[in-house]
Amino acid sequence: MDKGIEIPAIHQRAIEGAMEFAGANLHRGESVAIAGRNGAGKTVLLKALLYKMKKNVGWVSNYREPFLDLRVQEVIEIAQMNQSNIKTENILQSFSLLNLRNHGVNVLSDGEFMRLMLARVTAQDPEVFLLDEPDAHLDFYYKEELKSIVQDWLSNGKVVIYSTHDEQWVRPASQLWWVENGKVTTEEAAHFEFQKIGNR
Amino acid sequence: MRLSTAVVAVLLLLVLSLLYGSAGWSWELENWSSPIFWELRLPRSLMALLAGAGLALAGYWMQLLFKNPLASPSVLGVTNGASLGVAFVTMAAQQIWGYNFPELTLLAAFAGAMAVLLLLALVRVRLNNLTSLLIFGVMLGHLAGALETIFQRAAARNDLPNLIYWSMGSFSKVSMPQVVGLLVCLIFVIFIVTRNHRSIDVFSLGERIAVSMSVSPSGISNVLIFCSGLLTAVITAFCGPIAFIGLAAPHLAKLWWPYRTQLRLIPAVAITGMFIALFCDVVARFMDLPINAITSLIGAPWVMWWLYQNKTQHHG
Repeated sequence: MDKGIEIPAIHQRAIEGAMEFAGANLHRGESVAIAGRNGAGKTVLLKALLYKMKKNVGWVSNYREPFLDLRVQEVIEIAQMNQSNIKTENILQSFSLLNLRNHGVNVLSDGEFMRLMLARVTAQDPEVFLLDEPDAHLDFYYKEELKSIVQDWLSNGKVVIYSTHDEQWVRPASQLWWVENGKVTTEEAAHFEFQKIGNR
Repeated sequence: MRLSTAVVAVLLLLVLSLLYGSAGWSWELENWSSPIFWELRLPRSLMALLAGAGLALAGYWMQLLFKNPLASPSVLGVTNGASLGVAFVTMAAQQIWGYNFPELTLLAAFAGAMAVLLLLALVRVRLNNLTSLLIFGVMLGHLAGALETIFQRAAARNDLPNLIYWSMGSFSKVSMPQVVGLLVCLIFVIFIVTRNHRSIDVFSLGERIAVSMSVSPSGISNVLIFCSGLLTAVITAFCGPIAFIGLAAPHLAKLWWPYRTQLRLIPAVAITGMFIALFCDVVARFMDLPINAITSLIGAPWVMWWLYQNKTQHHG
């Protein structure tokens, strides 16, 4: 039977950004939305999970590394490192990046860059996807597109954890985690906090 | 550009550089076994070839490490660190212990270069602003330069010309064993980097992505620091501080070739460095000027142009 995927507990002191999280066991195909106000620590939580897990985990954010001039195609090739069961071309195709394959990452628009990061993590093919506000910079069309990408990952038995400000993204998630003052609440308590903000 | 075209260009320059020197064309020498050819021109040309490749690679890896297109051995003060080490063992030691240690030159240059690079790598964590880091490196270079001047002031008068000539940079005061020594270093360093080539490519995607792909950012930083530091130190110890090749070669290589991954760009960057160094060396020979004057005369305006060009398309 499905043993699920263990998400580690986090006890982090103030120096790296205070964070208390009890850990969780997620079923394959489950998604988690992390919500909270600006500066509440959503990114801190995601980053702490990344550094704790290290293996079989994928990372997407809209942060652009300075002086990154790899070509689009090379980024995908690098991500395929160990496993190359999916063709580079197919991945570029499905993220509408085929005509940009020889462009440098530094000339991409913010939206194109985000698509490349999503394509890269798809090529990497981890068990757990950590996405830091993945819909930022995406236009209306690609926001819808992103939903179906996440759906694909989930139906392939992956676990997707993302931070968001958008109610549209909270609703479809299997779980909601609420971050406030470096503490994470889950289940009904999280929904209660989220509703409080929404009803104001 | 095709790599083979570049190889032919470099070979032509190498032949030209072998054929000419202050004693005239090589066929005008009394015979082909002339020591002028075997003991002066051959090591000089080969050193220009290898030092060009080495400085270019050192610059390339420093730009990767600091994620900064203006990073290079001379800009970040690494060459100054190496110079300071050399100045210390050759001049200050003479004053303090009444003996200088020519045999320690290499070690001192290495220690100086490494000290600057390690300091930069340490403050990099605090100075997440890249411009600050660059200025920090430039300031370190000035500091090392000032100390060097103090050593020079303290030096005995008859030692001074040697150091001044050394600081102008030259491929000509080298011997065949030094050429072989640099070749061994180059092979060693390229071996280390190619063994880690994919991790370095992942590293360039950013710290968090690197962690998610089981690559240790600090481990790769150390590899890049060690390799670029070793090359800079050895070349500076043998040839003096040589500016701009490390800065310009990676950019020119990227202009000429579309590749951006380690495995494909390393030969391109190395060939470009060889080309620039040999070209400057040939110009320096025909005009009888120090090599550093040539590299700076060509390099400085080029960087200004580059900055001017890139201002508009810089992503925040």
